[in-house]
Amino acid sequence: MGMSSFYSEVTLALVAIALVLVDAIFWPRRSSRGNGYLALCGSLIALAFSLWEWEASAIGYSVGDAISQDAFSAFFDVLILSAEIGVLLLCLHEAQTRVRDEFYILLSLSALGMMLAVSAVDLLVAFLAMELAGLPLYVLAAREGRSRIQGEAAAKFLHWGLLSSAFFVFSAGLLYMTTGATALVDVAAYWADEDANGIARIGAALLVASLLFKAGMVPFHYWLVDVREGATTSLAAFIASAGAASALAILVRVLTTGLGPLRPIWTPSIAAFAALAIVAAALMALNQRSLKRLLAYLVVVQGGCFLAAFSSGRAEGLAAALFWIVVAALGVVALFAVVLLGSSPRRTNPSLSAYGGLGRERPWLGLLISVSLLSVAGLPPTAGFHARLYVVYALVDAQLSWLAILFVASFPLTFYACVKLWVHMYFRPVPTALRAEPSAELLAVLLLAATAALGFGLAPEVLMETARSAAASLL
Amino acid sequence: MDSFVDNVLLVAVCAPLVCGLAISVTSVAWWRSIAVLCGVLESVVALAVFYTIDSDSTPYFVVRCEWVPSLGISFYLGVDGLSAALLLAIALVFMAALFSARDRGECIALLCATAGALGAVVARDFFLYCFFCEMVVWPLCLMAALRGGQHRESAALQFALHSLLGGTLLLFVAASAVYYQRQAGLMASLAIEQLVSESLPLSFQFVALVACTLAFALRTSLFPFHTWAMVWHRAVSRSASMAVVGGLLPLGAYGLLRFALPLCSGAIGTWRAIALPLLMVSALAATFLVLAERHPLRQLSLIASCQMAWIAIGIASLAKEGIQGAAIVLIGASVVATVLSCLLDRGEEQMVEAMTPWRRWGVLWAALTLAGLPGLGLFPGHLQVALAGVNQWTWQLAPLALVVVLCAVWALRFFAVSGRTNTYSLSRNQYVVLLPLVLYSCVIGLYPASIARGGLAMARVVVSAAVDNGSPSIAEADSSAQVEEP
Repeated sequence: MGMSSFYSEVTLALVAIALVLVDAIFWPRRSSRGNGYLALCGSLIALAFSLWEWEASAIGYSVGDAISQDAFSAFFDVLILSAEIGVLLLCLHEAQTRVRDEFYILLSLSALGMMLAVSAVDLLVAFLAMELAGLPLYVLAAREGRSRIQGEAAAKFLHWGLLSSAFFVFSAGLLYMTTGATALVDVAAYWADEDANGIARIGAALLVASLLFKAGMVPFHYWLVDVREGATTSLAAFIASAGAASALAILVRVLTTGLGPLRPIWTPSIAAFAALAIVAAALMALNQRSLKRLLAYLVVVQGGCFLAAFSSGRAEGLAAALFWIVVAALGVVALFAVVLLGSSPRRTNPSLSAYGGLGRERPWLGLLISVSLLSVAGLPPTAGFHARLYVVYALVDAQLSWLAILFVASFPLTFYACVKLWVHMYFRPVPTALRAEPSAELLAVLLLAATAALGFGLAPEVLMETARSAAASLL
Repeated sequence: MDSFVDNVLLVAVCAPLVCGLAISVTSVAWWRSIAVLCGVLESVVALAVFYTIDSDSTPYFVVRCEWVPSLGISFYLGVDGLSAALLLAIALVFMAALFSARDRGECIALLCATAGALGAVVARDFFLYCFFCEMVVWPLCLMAALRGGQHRESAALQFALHSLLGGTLLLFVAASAVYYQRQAGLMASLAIEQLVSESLPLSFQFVALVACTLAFALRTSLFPFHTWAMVWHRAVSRSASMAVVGGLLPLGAYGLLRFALPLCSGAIGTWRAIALPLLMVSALAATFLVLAERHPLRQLSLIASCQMAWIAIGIASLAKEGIQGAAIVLIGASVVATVLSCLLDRGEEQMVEAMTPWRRWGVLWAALTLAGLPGLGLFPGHLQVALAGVNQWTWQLAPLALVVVLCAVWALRFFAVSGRTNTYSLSRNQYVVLLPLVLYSCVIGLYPASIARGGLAMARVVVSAAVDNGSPSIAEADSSAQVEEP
């Protein structure tokens, strides 16, 4: 295996170094858009490597059993890189009005951290990778924040990140103290071999809580929602798509690999957290008038749905969860592109009324946005509809009927939250304030997301087979 | 040519989408002609299919391929006696709606809805039916947005929420059916033949049937879920109203008959005991409400709701006559309610002094047909539904007779009131395009056997499945029902 398993990560690291060098060489006359396109090319190459790794089955254990390059991590590598490419395109649109110099470097480093984190099978490596993913984002949130709300978001993001990291380190310490290991396989062996003492159980519970904190699940979501609302749109899109997906991937790996023998204990707990996230966040999303805040709550709902499918504890359930997270990430990036469409240099957090009459004014744009909205709401002919079916089936198959009923019952709520934007686009009058002109990059994001949503809607098994392979590597 | 004939259903479903796409990407001035031509061709194809096939339960023009094999879902299209008759009705309804469409956006949305509706009629896989049904909803919401009245936002939201809730319930049933099939060691499949032949646990069948009935009630605006339709017809354009009353409501009833009953045939006996009184109450309540209502469009929504209750009562009677009657009402109500919807005022056109005599007679004909007057389109259906349960449920004749009398009172009052008010003009094309619908309704009234055969074939399938799955009350009904082919 060797280095061939790490081509995509190495490419991303090289891109970050190249960006630093370009930035230094051309200082102070540096071109922000040029850096953006360089980062975009690098990410595309990294994505190509990830896909090649998947196709060539270049997967296996590496780096002293601390990092596992299996199908599961390859799946998330592709997802994280795809989300990063989408966010880079959004960033290029935003760069027309706001110059950002270090954004691309820090974004590439954060993506690299996320890719390593989803591959980590050792608690210490996972912690380091998560910090590598998190620290650039804290810097970006503080660096780009210019208004009071953005400053508040940056401060909350930093506190939230530190608190979740502290929980993680503390729980990893407790586990090390009792099990004498940080590798997830050894931790799992401890549960299987000996009578676990109370401290180890507390450590395991805290570890799960810290990862739920990282993923921003209810009831740990409060500050993260504020962060997603307050951060610049591109950054918020990255946190909500790749950030949430990577945190959930780490949680899945820790639960299945490190805490596998405790499945009878954690399965109902995860199901309860999922139910809480689905219902509470969907209810809270109903009353939002700011599109970014609405999206922030929808991301929590999507995370809850992921956990619901995963809580079935079966490979088919995990595959449904992976299918779901891809569809959700696509939709989230597309909808953050819509946020940019309603933004202006003075108004970075547009209200829903900013989209009044958009669908009638620009029918094609309205159609692209509608397709992404349909997918997030889980309606045909998009991939969201199949995602809904797969999750319902996984829950019924695992005899979690109560969660299946809750999941089904929550759909009108999610739908209503999604349809609020649609109602403004088609039913409300055009606002007097001017809207941003959609750039080619923005249109590319919307077009790619809509195409993927329709493509996976018409041929869902293509994605589901991939998800099954990824799930089979863990369960 | 042979490949065209083999794939005629696929072409029929895809053609409106292609036309919609063509209209949206080109800026041709004759977009209306393209849309109308598509509608006419669909109707011609549907007519050809209707006359080509035998009125039995054997599927014709089958298109089948695997779609989501892991869940036993296939892209399975086919047409039999029942679906051919409904296919023709739906094609005619959407053709008439396309003639009434007033701008490009509305035309495109209507073409997308046409594709969904035709797909739902010819779908022979439960999941595919759900998929196509939901494909009808969103274009119609868009139509409300593009050309709606004062309350269009509320109308679209209520309509979408009711439809979504119904669709989600059906999806839940589909997923559970696959699970129970696997539990029973069977091959997972949601194809109609598989649903009929397999017997799943009775507890599941009962819950699934209740969920399907609830979905049916939500989608067909059955009392007490009728409020969305009352807002909808008043708020949206003529073509959107026609598409819902003649296209979407029958699809909900068709789903109950086509998929829910065969899937849950073992639990029909228990379900019937609960559902029949509730459906009677629903029919009576809709009739009383229609008498109390003053606005003609709200009356239209309530009388359509009443017809849906007739269909459900026919299905719930589980006698062969009842299901035949339900099939006749299903198709007849679709056609006649569309005509009435087209003839009623919308406030879109130029105001004229009073209704023309043709239009007034048209309103009278449609109202009396919906009331079930002998000799008109729905009478054979109403009669068969009323007589269906006589052997077991004699008491059901009394409420149904009351419904018929109240509907007749409504029809006469409706005619009298509509003639007195000032009204709006209709174009000659709109009158012309109603003719095929009127003719189809007359054919149903004068020669109901053409439809009833399809209903009988469906009834045979359902009743024999119920008997095979051990519903004793159904078995008694089956043996006691002396049904002759119409």
